[in-house]
Amino acid sequence: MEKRQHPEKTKVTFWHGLSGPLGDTLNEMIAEFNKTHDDIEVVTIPISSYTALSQKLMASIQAKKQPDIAQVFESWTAKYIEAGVLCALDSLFNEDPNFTVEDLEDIYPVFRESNTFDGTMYSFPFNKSVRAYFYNKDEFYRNGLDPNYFPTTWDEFRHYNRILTRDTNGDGKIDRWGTNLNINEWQFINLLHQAGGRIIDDNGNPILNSDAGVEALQFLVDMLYKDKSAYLVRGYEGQNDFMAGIVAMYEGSSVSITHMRQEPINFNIGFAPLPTHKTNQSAVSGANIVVFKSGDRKRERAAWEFIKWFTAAEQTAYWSVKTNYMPVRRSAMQSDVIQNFLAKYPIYQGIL
Amino acid sequence: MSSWKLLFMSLNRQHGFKARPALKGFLEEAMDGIERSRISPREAVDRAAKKFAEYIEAEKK
Repeated sequence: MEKRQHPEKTKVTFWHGLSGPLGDTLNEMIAEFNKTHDDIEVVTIPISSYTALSQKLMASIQAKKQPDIAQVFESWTAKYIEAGVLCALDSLFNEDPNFTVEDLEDIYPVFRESNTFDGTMYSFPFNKSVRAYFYNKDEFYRNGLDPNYFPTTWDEFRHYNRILTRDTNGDGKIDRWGTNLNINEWQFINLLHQAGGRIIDDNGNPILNSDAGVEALQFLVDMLYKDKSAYLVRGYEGQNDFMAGIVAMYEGSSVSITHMRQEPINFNIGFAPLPTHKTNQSAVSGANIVVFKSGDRKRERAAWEFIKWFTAAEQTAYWSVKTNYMPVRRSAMQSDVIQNFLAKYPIYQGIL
Repeated sequence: MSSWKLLFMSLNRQHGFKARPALKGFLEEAMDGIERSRISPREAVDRAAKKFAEYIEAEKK
């Protein structure tokens, strides 16, 4: 019998900072890619944190031993462009007959824009998330609130917050809170945008101290010190208190639920988009993916092949339902994978 | 376009990773000022913006 000849595999190294259930899903998908692509093998190197990933990438660039693909944030991309070590993805997808203009336009504009630097697309959206609220439906019900409705405006949110903050055992101390606040730039940026402000102007000057900035901060301050319906937390305290039933409404990343699911959740949980104010704008977070120059166009094309596969509608839909990262393509929302998931778990409508 | 500009311009659309800890630190200081010294949100946000401007200037160099 004639032995089947396998083509020589092009090996593509991929450095990333995902771990736990997110890393498990990534590994599962890479195994699927490798199984369905005879000529390419993606080899992943997980790095313990994004900070470590950034340091390791910088060292690898200095040693001219960078990986083929890496997960990166925009600020890293900016540095790598300046160092001249990135492949322009335009040059790769423009020579790919299986990637069309329609495919490119299927990617959400916000992702295309944030991966385009001076008119050139150097990175592709990879694991993108938004802020969302998680809430304790049982606590809503106990306080006479509709468990299937979450406040949609700042004023309504403040009102709910006051209702949900209580001293349940009559000892004179608050033991159930509306919400907790982990002061972070993502939350502030969202509030600033919702109040009609921006972080910096077109010349790069900070304008976060506009009236909108004051309004955003005042909103937090009023809940903390005027209403006394919120308290400050650090690290994972906020999420832990939510899981323990101490706080009714918790703002986290849409991906937080993937971590929460690692522990039993002893109440009915709801998810909802952030309440809005003058605008409903909110900032997107999460990382992108780049291809480093290797001097070997075959490897660079193989790297692009993986990115194209991972961000195609079917794969980005699967990635999204498994991790709660956002699908990067519009058509993915119409896919059977997401539609079936939302039909089975309608509570996810608010954040996917 | 220089890298500092690429970095900070992206803040309006997404928050660049490197600027995050800096901005977070300035906001924490602002909240701390409100909590401990009862400074107004106006004063707190002015301080945060001033420090962020200094940070950007340092990054440009």
